[in-house]
Amino acid sequence: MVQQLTWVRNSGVSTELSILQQSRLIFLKDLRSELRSRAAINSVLLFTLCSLLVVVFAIGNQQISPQVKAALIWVILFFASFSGLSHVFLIEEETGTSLALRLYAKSEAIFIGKLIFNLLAVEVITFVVTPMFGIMLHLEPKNILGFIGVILSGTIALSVGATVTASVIAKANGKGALYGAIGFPVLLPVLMMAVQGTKLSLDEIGGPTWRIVLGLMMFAVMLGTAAITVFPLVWED
Amino acid sequence: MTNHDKLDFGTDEVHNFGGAAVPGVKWKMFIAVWMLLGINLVFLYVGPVKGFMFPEGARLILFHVPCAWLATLCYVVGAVYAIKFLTGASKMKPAELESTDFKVAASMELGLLFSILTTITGSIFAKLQWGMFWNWDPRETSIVIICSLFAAYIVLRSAVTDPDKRARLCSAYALVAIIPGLFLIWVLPRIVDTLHEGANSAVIGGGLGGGYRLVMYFFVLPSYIGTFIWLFQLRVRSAKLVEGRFA
Repeated sequence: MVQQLTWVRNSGVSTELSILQQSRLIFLKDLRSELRSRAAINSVLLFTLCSLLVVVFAIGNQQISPQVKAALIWVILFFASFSGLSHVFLIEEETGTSLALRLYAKSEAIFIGKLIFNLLAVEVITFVVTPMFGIMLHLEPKNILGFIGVILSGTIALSVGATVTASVIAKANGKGALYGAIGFPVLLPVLMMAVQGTKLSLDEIGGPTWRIVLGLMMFAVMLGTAAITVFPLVWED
Repeated sequence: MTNHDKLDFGTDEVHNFGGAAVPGVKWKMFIAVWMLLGINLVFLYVGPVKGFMFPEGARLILFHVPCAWLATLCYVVGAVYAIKFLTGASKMKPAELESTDFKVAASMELGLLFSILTTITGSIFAKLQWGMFWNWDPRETSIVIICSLFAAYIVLRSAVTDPDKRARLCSAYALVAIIPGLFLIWVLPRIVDTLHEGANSAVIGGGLGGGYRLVMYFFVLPSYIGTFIWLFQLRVRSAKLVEGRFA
């Protein structure tokens, strides 16, 4: 892959890979190096399962309202994404490969590639955690399609926001504690909308759930566009 | 440049109004008089508003609303300087670039101050009007989030040691963080409002008399903006003296 990118670099403009092709290569690079060690995904999954178990055991056999269930599942998903999504940028700084990456690919491509990787990671986590949560806390959404829509669009918006924050955090000191503090204001609209939407889909059929799905997607697109515009300025120093 | 010139606060940022002994002192005195006038009018001219739970407490609006506007203004000013910083990085001289960065930071710090003041005055008003300090109203939540945006900027700023990197990262963050801010102010209330009808109309309160508008727009708001400009210049100058690398 590196050879492919190097070849692009040395062989003039006419054969240059487009940004999307470059993003694909970045994504594949991250995926391969992750599958090689599985360090990030394992620790994030375990962390998420632990936080799920903390919540479930704290509640025990009590009856809780849909509002509380909706809030709890999003708290778990938020912790999950803040525990692991900064990994894609941190690993480049830790191993000292960020400079090489900067030489080989356009910064927009790097951001998009890493964003796609994070989207995949978040969806894997969601796919494991949400059914478990549902079984253990008797989640019975009346509007099952709306529920899936809110969970999907909410996690997409979540991972866009977390990736944006991670790209800024990777260059700062005291990353761990800072990540939550910096990401929180960016992701709060997501939390508010997602909890509201999840509650609605648990309560009733149809109605304003889809408006919230639309709002979440809109937020993801807006934030993603802004991040792609600003990211080169953060990345190239 | 002698040391005396360097410490003279009037040399750089402050406009020289009519060659006063200390430049800028005249308009600051004018702002002080204007603000005193405004405060007096709030208590002497403007009357209690009927229809409020605590009619005398309606006066608080005249301090609360300008604070909220100023917090927004701070974000706008900060964002404009952040754009100027990021787009002009190759064109501007290092000293100019640094002072642009200080301006972003100054407006963010003042933004935190004014948004905290907005939250406090808003809570007091909410207690008088609706009986509770916190009502989960869309506007109450959005001001707290804006507060946390300003705080996050300051935290991020303190976490990066290299000045050039810090300036770039923080400006980029300030620009990205506009998106959730805009979303909260314009989009979210429209999505959530349809679920909680009338939640927003409760914030505006009853009709305010003409005296309120006059005092607000003619006295209180201009003097607040003047105070903001003064604090802003003061903060930028002190940042230059403390952290500045270019004399």
